[in-house]
Amino acid sequence: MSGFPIYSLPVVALRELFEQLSLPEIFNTSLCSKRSQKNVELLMRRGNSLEVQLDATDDSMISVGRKNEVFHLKVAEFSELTEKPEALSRVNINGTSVPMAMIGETLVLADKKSGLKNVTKHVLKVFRCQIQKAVIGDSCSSFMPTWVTDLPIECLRVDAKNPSVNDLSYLFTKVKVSEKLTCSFEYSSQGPRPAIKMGKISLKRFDNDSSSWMTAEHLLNLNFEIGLLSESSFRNRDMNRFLKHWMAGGCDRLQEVCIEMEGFIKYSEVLRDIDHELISRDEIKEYYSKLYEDTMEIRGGFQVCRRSDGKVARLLDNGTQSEFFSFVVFEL
Amino acid sequence: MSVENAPVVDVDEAAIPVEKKMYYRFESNDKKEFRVSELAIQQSETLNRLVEAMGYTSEDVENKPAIAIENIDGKTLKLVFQWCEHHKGEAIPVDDGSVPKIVEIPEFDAKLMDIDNGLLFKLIWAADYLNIVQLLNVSCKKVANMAQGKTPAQLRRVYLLPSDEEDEAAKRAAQEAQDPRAREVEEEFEERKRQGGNSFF
Repeated sequence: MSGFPIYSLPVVALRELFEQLSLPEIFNTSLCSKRSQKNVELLMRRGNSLEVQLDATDDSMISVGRKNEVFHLKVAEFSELTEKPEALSRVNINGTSVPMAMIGETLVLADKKSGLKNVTKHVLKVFRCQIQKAVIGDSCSSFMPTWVTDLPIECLRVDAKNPSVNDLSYLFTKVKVSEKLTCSFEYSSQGPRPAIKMGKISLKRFDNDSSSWMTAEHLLNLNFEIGLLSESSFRNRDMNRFLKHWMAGGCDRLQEVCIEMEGFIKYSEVLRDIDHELISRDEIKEYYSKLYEDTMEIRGGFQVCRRSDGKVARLLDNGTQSEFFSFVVFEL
Repeated sequence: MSVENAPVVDVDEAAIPVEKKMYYRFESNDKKEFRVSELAIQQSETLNRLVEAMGYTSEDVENKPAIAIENIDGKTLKLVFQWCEHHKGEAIPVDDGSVPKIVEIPEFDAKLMDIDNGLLFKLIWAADYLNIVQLLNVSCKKVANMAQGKTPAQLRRVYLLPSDEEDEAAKRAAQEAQDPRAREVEEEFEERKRQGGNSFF
């Protein structure tokens, strides 16, 4: 017998064998054929201990990590190579037979963009896990790989320069992010605000490095625990609307939010038509800020109480020369 | 009937004070007989349970027929019992669920497994059947080592993995072999199509 027919082994032995194979060996075995991919999927334990990161930027990289082992897989395309690859073979990627060359940890395929999509789907199926962290887009280009909406993701970072409004609208109406969404994309022109659509998104944390594209409607569609919105174009009336939304039971997961407004905050406008209690600055309250991951002090401020569930929250008094709307919900 | 006298490996018996001097007799499916110490048998969960259930005395193991192991041949069983004798008294590893599992092949095991792939394949089947955990671990490690640094094309050769095209061809061949009448009908259909007929019937 010149080779070793692994799939003729009893299943217990086969599982034992796969527990001893490294991540690249498992991945390469799954590329051999559709049948081999199916077998690997059956043999892998559900990937609780696996961590997958997707870098859908110009780097086109997928990283799979587990205890003491990280497997980086880069996707490139033939047109990027200066020389024709020596060994070209047909492999199975996510159920489709495609020509591929393997150079070190780089898979070279016909098209990088669709290649990354199919390789990512293949990796998630084979290792039976979901993406922990994905970075999509690139601050130097407008490319936005919207196919990530097909995948459940824990943490997503969206980056791009002048991305397509349609792409972003598609992304923000379909995306399934459970932990954290970070937006870092921006528009260079000073024209009208792009009309980006956003569906209802519920998640733990929302960070937006450049929030000027956001409208009050976007903000009301979000249900997050922690929020940090920089460089927004929100004014006092928008913050008043958000506060009323919360008082009426909206954004019910909210624990802490800090929004950089356009212009100074005017507490009387923000609190217009909202029952509140003015707390003396002498009254100091300590709390653990999940936003800043530190114990903080609150001096005075404006306390509000939501009637529906009795939750008490404080709009922080940062002074009249502040551009920040800081709101903390206390634990019951 | 040939008798393969185990233990094959010299053992410092003073180091194993608890060993009882009782040897069981086993027979492979090609009628080769082996004598294996009670302590060595403990490496195999299957055999250990079997001999416990039998409750043989020292006289029984000599007078009664050898215990038949129907689906393992003599060449494989010799390796298995050599391994068990060498590792007798050692603790049986417990799977803690961590992956990738780190397994090292001791020198003795490496020499024992310096065999062709056909025999290694049978050894793994035997280790699985007899439930010898550590032998299964090391023999699978030997197979896992074959994949080191291999591309998918190389893995196909090493692990005899057919490509999609080969799988399809094998499937077609199997279907044709199963039902020759279906093949005749298909050929007739193709012939009529070539002749320009629209309807098969």
